[in-house]
Amino acid sequence: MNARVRSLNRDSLRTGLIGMMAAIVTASVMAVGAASIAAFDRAVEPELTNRTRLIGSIVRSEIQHALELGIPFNAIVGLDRYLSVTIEKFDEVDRISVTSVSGQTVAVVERPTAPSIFERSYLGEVIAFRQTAFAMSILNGNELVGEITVEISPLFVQTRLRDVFLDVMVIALVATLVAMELALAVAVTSVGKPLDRVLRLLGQQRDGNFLHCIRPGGLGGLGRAAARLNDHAEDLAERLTALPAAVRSRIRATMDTRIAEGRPLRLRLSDINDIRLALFLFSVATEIAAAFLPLYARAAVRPPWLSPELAAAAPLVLYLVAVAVLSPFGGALARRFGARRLFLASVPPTVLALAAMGFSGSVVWITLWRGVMAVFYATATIACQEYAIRAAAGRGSARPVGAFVAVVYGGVFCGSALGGLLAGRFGFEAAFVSGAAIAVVSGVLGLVAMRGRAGDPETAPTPSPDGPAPQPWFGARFLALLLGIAVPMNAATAIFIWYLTPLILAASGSGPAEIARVVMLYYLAVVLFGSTVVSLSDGRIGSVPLLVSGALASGAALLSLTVWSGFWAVVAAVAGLGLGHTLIRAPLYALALRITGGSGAGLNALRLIERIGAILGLAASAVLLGDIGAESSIRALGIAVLSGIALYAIVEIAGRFRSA
Amino acid sequence: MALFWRIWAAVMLVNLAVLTIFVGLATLQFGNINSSLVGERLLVLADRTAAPFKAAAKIGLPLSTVRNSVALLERARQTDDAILAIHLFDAEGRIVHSTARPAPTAIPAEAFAGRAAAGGGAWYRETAEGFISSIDIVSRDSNPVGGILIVYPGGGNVTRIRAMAAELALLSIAVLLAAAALSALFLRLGLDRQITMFEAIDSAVTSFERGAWRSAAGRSFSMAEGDADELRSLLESAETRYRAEGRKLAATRDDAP
Amino acid sequence: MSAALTAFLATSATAAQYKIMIATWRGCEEACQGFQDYLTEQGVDAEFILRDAGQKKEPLPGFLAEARAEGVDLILTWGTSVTRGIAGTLSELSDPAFNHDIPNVFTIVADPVGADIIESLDHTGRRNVTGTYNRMPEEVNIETIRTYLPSFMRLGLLYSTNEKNSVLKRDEIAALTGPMGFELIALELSLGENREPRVEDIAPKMAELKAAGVDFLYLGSSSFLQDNSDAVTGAAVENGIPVLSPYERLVRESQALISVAPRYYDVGRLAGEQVEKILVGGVAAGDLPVARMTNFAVVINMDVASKLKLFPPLDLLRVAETVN
Repeated sequence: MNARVRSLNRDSLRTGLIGMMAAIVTASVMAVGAASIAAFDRAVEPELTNRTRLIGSIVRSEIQHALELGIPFNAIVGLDRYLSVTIEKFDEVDRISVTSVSGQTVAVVERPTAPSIFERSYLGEVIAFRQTAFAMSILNGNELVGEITVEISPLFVQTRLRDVFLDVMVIALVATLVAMELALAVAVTSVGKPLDRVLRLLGQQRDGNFLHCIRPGGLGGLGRAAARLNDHAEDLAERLTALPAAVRSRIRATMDTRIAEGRPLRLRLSDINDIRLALFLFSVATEIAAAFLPLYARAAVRPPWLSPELAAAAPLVLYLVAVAVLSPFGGALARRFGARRLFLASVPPTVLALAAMGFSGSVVWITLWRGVMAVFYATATIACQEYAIRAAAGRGSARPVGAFVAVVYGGVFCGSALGGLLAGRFGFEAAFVSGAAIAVVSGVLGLVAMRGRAGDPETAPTPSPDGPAPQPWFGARFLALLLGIAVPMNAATAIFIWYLTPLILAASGSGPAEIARVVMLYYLAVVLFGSTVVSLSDGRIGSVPLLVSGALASGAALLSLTVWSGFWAVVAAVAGLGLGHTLIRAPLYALALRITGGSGAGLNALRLIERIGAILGLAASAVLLGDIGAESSIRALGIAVLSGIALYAIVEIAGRFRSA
Repeated sequence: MALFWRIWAAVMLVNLAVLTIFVGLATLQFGNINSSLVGERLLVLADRTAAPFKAAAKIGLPLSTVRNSVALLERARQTDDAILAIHLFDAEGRIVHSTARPAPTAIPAEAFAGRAAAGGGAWYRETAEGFISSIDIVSRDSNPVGGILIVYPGGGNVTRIRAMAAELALLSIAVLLAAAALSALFLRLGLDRQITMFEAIDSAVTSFERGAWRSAAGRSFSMAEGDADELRSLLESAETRYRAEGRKLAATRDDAP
Repeated sequence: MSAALTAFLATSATAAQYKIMIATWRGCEEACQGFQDYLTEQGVDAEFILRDAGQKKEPLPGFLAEARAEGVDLILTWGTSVTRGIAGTLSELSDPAFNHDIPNVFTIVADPVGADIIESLDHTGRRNVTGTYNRMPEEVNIETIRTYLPSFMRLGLLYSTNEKNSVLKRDEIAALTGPMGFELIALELSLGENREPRVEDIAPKMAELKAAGVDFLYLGSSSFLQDNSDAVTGAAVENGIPVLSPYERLVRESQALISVAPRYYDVGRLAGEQVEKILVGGVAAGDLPVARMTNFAVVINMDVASKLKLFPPLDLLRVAETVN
């Protein structure tokens, strides 16, 4: 009875509300976004041509100077070479030609048409660039002697405008993600929770439990009902206290009702969504440097024995190691001190670490603080994970972990975009300080929102309510899951996304902004499709089919690069891998939970092995890359992923046969 | 209806917050774009100014000894009235010739950082006062012998960014107003079912309360029709239990010696 | 008594504070002028006694004798020959025929160390001698030629054995041929009865160089060639050979094509600075290091370029000063 009311009202209202909010806000953002793109283009286009005009006028003035000195127009020595050098230096110039008044060509240099990596995007047709050539007259004294014509590469302009478009898209996405989180928070606090609270208290009081009261307030009838129920509990408690002690103990012994001593306790409900906003902001804060940390580390003071590449990689490595080392203990910590306290305790050190990183001059200090941040990032996220699992009552649903993953990756996405923007505008220190400020906000939100039992220390082990009897950890199924799916997935992420993709793209001429955008595509897939996968996993399709199709998709994405190559092939592979991993991730965690009996410990083991796999994979590929090359590495990875699925499938099927 | 307005207000607030974030970030981004445009133009200028000095360095003439240095720098400065100064500096960063009077002794600290990061190529950077752009000049055996530094003001930049921010803000306000109207419509239609449900909850509570008052005068709780039957019966059970316990307590108190 | 006093005072009033003898080789040209202008501008009250050797070594001892008799405060010697004639070389330090006591500042000396006048540029090793140094390393000249004419392979040079400088220069350039990758065709000018080269020899030698396929001619470190600059550069232009000279005068007033050099006027002023330090500042000449010239220019004669149909490339046009 309760369940039906709850599900009827709460879920549909909340989903409906969030859906509406999201639709409206997204539409607004898109509208403003489109208008912004138009405004930016209007501002940018003339400036682009200004530069080319400047180049042209400089060449012209050189020619005119030579003419003034008495050198005949068609005898200017070194003109061809000068024009070639100019074209080499400035990408946007396609062709420069110098002609005399009579039409005779004095010199002409054209850019050799290199095979273009960037195919003409549709934007080229949408945004028609008006002027592609400038002509300037050449004077000698008061006489017109010729003309210089500069042709601009339309591709150059298209690329710049496309960059503007993509940058605005990224900002729009960031704004939308923030909107989703805000919308969810608003919906939960204003609608979801008040109803839940009243229903819960009603249930308790109907069964004779008058120990609790709830937060007063709520819309209309709900508010009044809440007040009424609170009063029930307070009144009984008051009257009991008024009685003499002897009578009180007699009543306690005989009655099967429970009445509060003194004042009724505040009942706090936990919901997975409590942690969302806090964790989202925390993730934004810690990942604020994601886009530029290697640059920052490389430019810092480093001891002479450390090469720039190692310096750039050092913080990342320490981060992985710190998280890997802490994962086994994180779960125990969360249970001992309570998720809430652990999360709140993790915030101040993170704030300190972020601020310190901004003001560190040397690589050693930067790496150190990154390590500190990694440790407390691990504890904070594990705390939230525990909270989420406990709030969902450990049913082995993919939902809590799926939501959790979506929040974290959404935060990564937004944090790196925001950090890149801030650093570009105000410098690295400003970005770090902003990160610290956001972390403070997340701490405050955590304090306010993480109520309820899920945040408390665990006194007794949670029993697993349903599902098959928990297998011993190193059972075949868990191992198969681990080695066949989890490790290849994480190795693929570390090797391909973090390491090879930037290398391949940089080698074919992409700048850091472009590389960042491609890498962010991977996280975007998680953010966009994460929740759909979660509901599919819990619902009709189930975990295993999703897992297998996801692994197949990622294997295919990797192997596709052995057939096709080029910028768009890499983009497709990254997107494909992102999609594949999204399909894997939530079901993977759900399955792991189920197999290991519903506690967070199994999950932590999973995460630990994943991280170790990532570290080993990264190290191996760094060592081997020189010998075997990028393409072979990717092929090996793809094969590893596919064989992993095969292994898992075999074990799974064998298991089914055995139990059948 | 209260629910509807509350939701509408919430949507508008979220919309406002999000659009503010968007406009803020987009303005930052535009600032970046604009700076890079100015900077790239300065790169062209730096390259061009350095050309004669490169020729001198190539034949081996020390930079400080080029006799018409100041004229060369000044000629470059005159291509754009806005340029504040152009300096020629040596390998240690000391300024050898300059269009500025009096000339500073050395290039600013940010320039050292910029040179280090660019590894000899042309670079530009935004500073508190505007922009600096520079390019190194190398001798025949590829040793850096000095470079050119251009100092450019940031005023025009700031104006354009502010103008863009204002434009985006106006845009957002327009969109917000449109969204306010449209979303009122949208919510009304879309959340119809949920609002009805909520009103059902409300009426369940109201009719329960009515029953509660009336029960004081002896009328029993009556069951009414409706979706929220479950809610109503829950309320009534809880109420009943409370009254029972209360009466028990009262009885105990009376019994007590 | 009063008349004598007045006369004495009068003489003192008109007499300048310092007496400086300027001994030149070819008359008082820009360096000499720059020297005098600088001291005048600086308010150094000096009387300049100009003595010109007329391109002969014989008058030089006479100048020194006169300087000693007049009690001059400082002698400025212009050029290697004059300096060696008056101040002598390091091996003549004990010879009283040379100047070892009066402060001696030399200027326009191409290679004072190689000419054995001083020990090193930082420590002259002579109590009363210092000077100015205005030479560019020869690599600069070769690189300039190469920039002007990328196809440059053969350098021509005329030298005469009666001038030590000339021979030294030939050797110096010869040493560069390997590292810098070019060929040197050096032709010796035959000496006449007076052990000096003859003007009539210039044109035939130029034709020889042309026949040998010379791309560029280097003209420097030879007083003879400098004195006959018009003849030499004229012959070069007739044979279509461009001339590079370390003497700017040859580009401005003669028909050399290009030079990388300081302005002699500025060199004179630099010498003036040295003299100021000695006379006004009271520093002993031997304690001053030789002053280095700090201002050079690439000068191109456009008229000659036009005649030779060999115009400077765009690269050089900005940094060079042009004449005609």
